[in-house]
Amino acid sequence: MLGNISLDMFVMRKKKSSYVIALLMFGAAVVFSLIEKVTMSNGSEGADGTFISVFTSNVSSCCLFFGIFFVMFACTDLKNGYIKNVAGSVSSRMGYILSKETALAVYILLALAVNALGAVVGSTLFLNGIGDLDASDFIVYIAELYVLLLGFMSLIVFFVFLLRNSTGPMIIAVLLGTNLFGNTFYRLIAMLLAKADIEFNSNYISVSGQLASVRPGADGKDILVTFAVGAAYIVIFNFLTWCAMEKKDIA
Amino acid sequence: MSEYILKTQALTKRYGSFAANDSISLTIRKGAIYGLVGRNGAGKTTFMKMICSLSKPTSGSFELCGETYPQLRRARTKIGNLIEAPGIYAGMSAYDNLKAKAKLYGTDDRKKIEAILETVGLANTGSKHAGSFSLGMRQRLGIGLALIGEPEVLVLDEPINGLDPTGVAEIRETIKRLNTERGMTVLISSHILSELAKLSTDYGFIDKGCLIKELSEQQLLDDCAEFVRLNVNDRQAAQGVLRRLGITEITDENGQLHLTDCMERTDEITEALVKGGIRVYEIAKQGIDLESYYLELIGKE
Repeated sequence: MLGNISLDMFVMRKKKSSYVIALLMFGAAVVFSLIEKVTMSNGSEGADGTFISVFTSNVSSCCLFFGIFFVMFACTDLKNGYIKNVAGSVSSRMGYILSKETALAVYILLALAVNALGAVVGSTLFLNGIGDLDASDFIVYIAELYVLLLGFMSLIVFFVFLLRNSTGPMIIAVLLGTNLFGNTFYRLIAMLLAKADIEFNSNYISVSGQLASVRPGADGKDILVTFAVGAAYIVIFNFLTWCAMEKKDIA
Repeated sequence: MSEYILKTQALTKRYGSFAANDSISLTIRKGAIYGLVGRNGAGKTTFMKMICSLSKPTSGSFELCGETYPQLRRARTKIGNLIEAPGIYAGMSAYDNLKAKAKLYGTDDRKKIEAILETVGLANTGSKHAGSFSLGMRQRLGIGLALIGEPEVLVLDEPINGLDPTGVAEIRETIKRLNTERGMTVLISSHILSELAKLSTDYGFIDKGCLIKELSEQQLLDDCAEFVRLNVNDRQAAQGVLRRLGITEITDENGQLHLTDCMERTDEITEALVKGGIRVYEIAKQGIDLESYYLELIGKE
């Protein structure tokens, strides 16, 4: 397992897309700072010109980049056939998947750090710098984001190994990363439920909905729901991936 | 220790009602180059995938490097494979491709990786991306990847497919070297049977998912033994002359005499027959090659 993680970390270091995606996130944070400045100068509401405002806006939009990278990384071995060199040598197929997820988990942390750095640079250049930052709120927020992104990653990895291609998972990554799916499908469900006099927002318990709405300083209940949703996605989709991998042969 | 490195027992792989491999029981000796012969779709790749733990048998079992399926903890690390096309990272150099897999085994020592590059003839590729390699270079890199972890068994599925004659010769020499210098057991499949015949010490013939025959190089040579084809005006009289020469293995087939164990005596035979007043219309050496042998086995023209 350690050898497998080492392999995946090495491959991640060698992949250009690892750097391109991180650079895009950094650039997006700087651009968001500029947008924030313009929004503030127009006197629009909701823009407060702080680091945290830039960071939260950027992270929500960067879910798309995360989704794309998850697909690209998880799919590489399947597409180039490298999986045949490795999968037979590992004692369990799930070990092979978990090592990929470990590498991606490290990448998420690094990418969040790059996002933060971009937001710091952008807010220093165009706004009022970092400003007042409630460290404890920010740490809880980062932890929520991290768990949600791990849940999102587990879902994407499942679809990659279920479908064994990149097209389907990429479409899913885009739909969820941009929360298009949540804005349409879940809204439709809410409308149908409303007809039966049931008020329930299913987007609230979806990882994409949570990623789009998670903010620092949330109340205890919301934080709990966020962690529960992330953890549930991690457990459920890893179990499903295990089922898909154990049953299927390596093509 | 068993003299066999691989033993399969009624190994079967089914996809629905279709049996890609049907009850295959074969044995591979340590240090052998085992040629798996069969046409496309015969079940060679399926068999190899099961041995390499890439595919799960529907039924049956196998013993690999002293361990029995599915408990193959150590055996998994003793087998290297190149199944179908080589799986390589196109954006990485040959060195990095090998280093990536070496990390899996915790053996990413520079000298070891360079030694493998040397073995497969890719030592001078430097930082050139594997994506720009020729087909032959890719195949050799695939073999290099299979050599990571110093395996005892090398499983090569159609390693010479699509290669030019030089590439084929290079791969053949590499495999021979690995077998003789490192004592590596090789399981190789190809439908280029003339090439397989130059390498293999043992053969398994597979058709429609079934192992139809298994034999050693010597047994194959015996089975494919060359004979002298003799076309004469009087076969009865000719047989008498031949017996007086001590040639006893004579068969009469389709109006011709087939003589074995007298390959070097055609001049003597001709002279004796002519002296005996027999007209010799034709005398020719004949034998069957691996391809004909295989086609005969599966009952094809």
